[in-house]
Amino acid sequence: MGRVGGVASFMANRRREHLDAIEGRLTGPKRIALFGHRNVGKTTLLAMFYRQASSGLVPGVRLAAADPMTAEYLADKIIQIESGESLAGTLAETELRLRLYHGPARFDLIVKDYQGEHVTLGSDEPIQQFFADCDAVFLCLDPEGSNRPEDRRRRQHEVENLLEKCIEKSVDGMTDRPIALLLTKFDRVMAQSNGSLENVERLVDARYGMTRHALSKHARRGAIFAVSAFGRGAIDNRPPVDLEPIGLEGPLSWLADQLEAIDRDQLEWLWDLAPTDTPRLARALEAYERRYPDTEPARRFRKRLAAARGKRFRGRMLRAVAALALVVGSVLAYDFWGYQSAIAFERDHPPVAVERRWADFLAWHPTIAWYSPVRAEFARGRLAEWRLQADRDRIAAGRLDPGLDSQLAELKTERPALANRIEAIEDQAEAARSEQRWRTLQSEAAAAGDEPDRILSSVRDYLRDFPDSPHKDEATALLNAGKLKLEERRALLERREVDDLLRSAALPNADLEEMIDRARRFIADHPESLYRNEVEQLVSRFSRTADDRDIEEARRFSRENPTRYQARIDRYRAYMKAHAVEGRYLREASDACERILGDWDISTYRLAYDHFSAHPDDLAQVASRLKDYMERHPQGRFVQAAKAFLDWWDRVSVPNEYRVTLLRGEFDPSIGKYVAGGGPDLRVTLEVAGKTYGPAPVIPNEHKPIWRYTFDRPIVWKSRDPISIKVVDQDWWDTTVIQLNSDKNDPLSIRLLSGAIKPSKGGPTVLHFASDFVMPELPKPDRIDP
Amino acid sequence: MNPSASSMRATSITYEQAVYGSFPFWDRGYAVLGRSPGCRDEWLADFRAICSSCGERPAGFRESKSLFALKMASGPWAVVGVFPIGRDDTGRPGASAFHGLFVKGADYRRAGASPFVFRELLRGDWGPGDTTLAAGRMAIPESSLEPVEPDPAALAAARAIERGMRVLVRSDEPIDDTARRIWAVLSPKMRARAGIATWVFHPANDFRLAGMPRIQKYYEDRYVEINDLLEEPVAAAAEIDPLRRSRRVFWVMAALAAAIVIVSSCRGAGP
Repeated sequence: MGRVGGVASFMANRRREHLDAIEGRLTGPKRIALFGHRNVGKTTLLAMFYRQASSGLVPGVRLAAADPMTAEYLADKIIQIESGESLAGTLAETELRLRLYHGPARFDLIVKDYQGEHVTLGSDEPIQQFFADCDAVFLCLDPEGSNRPEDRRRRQHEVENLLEKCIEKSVDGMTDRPIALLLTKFDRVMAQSNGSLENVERLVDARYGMTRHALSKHARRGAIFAVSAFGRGAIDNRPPVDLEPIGLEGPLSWLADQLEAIDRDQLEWLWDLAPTDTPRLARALEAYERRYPDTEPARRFRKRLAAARGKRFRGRMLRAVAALALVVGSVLAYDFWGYQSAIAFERDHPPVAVERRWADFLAWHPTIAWYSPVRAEFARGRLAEWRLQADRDRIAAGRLDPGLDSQLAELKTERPALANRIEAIEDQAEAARSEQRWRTLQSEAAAAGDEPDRILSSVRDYLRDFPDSPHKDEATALLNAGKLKLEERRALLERREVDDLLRSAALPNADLEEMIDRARRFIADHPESLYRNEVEQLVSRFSRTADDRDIEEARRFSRENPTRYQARIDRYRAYMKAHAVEGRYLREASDACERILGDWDISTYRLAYDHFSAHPDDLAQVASRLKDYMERHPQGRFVQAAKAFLDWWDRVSVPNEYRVTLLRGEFDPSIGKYVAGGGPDLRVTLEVAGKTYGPAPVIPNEHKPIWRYTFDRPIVWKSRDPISIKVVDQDWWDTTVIQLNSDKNDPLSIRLLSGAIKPSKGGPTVLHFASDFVMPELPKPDRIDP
Repeated sequence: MNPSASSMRATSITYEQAVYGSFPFWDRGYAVLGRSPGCRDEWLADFRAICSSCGERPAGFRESKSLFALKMASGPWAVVGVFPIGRDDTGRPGASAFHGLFVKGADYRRAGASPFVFRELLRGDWGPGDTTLAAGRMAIPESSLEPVEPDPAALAAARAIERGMRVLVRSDEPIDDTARRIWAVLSPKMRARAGIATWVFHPANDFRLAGMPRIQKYYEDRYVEINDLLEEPVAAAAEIDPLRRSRRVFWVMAALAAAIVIVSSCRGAGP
């Protein structure tokens, strides 16, 4: 089997390769072999073909270079020819791409220029491979290039070798490609004799009879052309001045005709070999139409392709319809077989199996609903009926599916005719469910143990879910017994909890607060407890004991720490907070707090007051202590006085204006000048903080002058500004009687101007001033008993 | 080792030779005229192929003798002198004789990898009796390349060849002087790999440096013209290269010396 498959695959591949080769020849450029030995004029002929045919000098034919390299190569050769130079022997092999136009046809050609020595018999140069694959051949022979018979025979053997290679590939002994013989340099023959066609054939027979005979026998489309690339006047290989080529149009026209015939034949051949391969035929025809646009054969091939495509389409459609019919028939047979099998299955199988069979039928034969709705509906009805029967059997066997109710409800909606039977099934299912639940409940009750509440919950659920159960009385009895058992159990647990509380309270360092919390929690958790009264009494007892203990603790702390006012207050407040509801010493604690606050107030104020009394000049310290007092006791008894003092202190700390009056003075009677009227003429000047005020009016000739003079400008002073008082006798000349200066550390030097002032060294001299400067006073910190 | 043989080997190299061309004294066209006995057939096939690929001289250019060197697929290097010999037996112009010397790769490297040292051995005066040639021996000259003053164009071309590019010099005549200057600044390693032609007419052969009268558009992307290279700043790089080479040689020599010391000590440590 594998061998047969391999052979088939091999044959298919060979066929495909063969078709690909034909298609490649049809669509690709045409390769033209210019076969000839050295010095037959191949390069010259190529150049002249191009020169003449590209410039319109060959009737009906045009030749163009298909790429720049070809144009450049041929142009170089033409330049040499036109300049009268012989072409050098070709050395390198060059591929030339040309385009041949003939009528409406257009051919892409590949021609190779090469060393003529490479066609020698036995040569394996690359040009030989090109010859083997070419589409048409020009055999170039010159009439007199090979003068010796052995040379001519060698040339003909070379041609024969090529012909045999061409014949090898054919099946009818004919060459598979057109071959023409070009007799080059014909101008030399014409120069010697008449150059008619008969002469040409006679000459070929005479010189190259072997080749002529082979062509006539094996070349179906063979031809002979006599050409001269230079025309008359050429001497040896040197071109004449005027180039008049002879016979160039014949080979080119012949080539175009042959190529068209070959293309037509190959397209026909391709059609014969692969008439159904329309994509390949379309590609080949497209290339053909591009090469021969608007020609009759192209139109004919196009129609033929359209017909082939139509036939192919119809064939495909027919096959598709047959396939569809086969599929439909198969489906019908399959459904019919399934339907009959399901009906037959009902006879001798249980309802559960029959139900499954109808369900499978509907699942595996969905197509029956498309073409036979009656049968599909019948199948669904059978499924519903058998499902009810199967459900009944399942319930009877104790199998209750979880989705049974929803299935039955859905079925009731879909099949109203089966409603009565469905309800009967539902009742049966409900009874079965009740019985099943009751048995479960009984087994749970037997194994309940220490969880009577769970059983009670289950029994309640059962009675709620199945109010009409035949086991209703038994369930009620079970419920009552459970309740009793539950209460007994609860009382036992509560007793254990109370006993535990009592044991904890009896311990030496029992935490009374925790005991009280536990007792209250017990009352909250068990408000109906039998032991509620007992626990409430315990709470009262614990509270009394804690009350006595806490007030005594606060009292003791106050006694031992009389100056720690805040801590003492905190202790009493803690007591009040802890026993806010039932405390027996709340009033005492409240009074104690007030008393401690009063003591603390006086104590703090006394610190400032005592310092002011002891150091009246240290006003800054007094002010600091009063500030401290106000911060600590913002509601204190001495807050007003402290605030007044601090306001005054703030006022004297910055410059302020004061009105000063010089009242009178008493001076030593010994002062005064001679012949001064019996006494000095005194005037008084003040200097405060560097500024001078006065002088007061001069009282003449008086030792006890009375001024009662208010300085016309207010004195500007602030704390620690120095004050200087200067008294001058201005009899005859000014003499300073006395100068009084305030102490430089005196913060309140202005007090000098508010009373009598005497020199510190003593003496009778005294000056009396009055001013609106007032010193504040602090009240004495006496206790006020309530 | 034989001291005399060693000195002989160090001072001379051998070569085989063959002549290919189209001559007026025969009617065979381009064919092999003569060969030395040691010249193998595959060498001759390659020799014919590379000679044919040089192309025909285009119209308007004077005939000149030229030189090319290329490593053949069959093994040896071919150092070929191209000699115009006028017309062939049919009176066609442009016939040429190709005198090829076949040198082994190692010998070519020992000769400095320069085709110019073989110039004196190449000849173009052949006659019908030269069908059998003798293998030759050539003394290696002291310096394979004459000292030349490096010019920017030569440095740029050498740099491009080192980078793997093919350099074309457009010229109406063979570029012997230019080629010699470029070869003088090219590294020996690259000289031993790169083919060179002083004047050819077809770019089919793989020459890294070639003088050509013109090049067809089709082949232009295979070559870079030397005049285009002059725009690149390669002079500084070219000056650095000898220093790099000397450092590389130093390290190779040091590694060899270390290997010799290790091998010697291992042998000495044996029982």
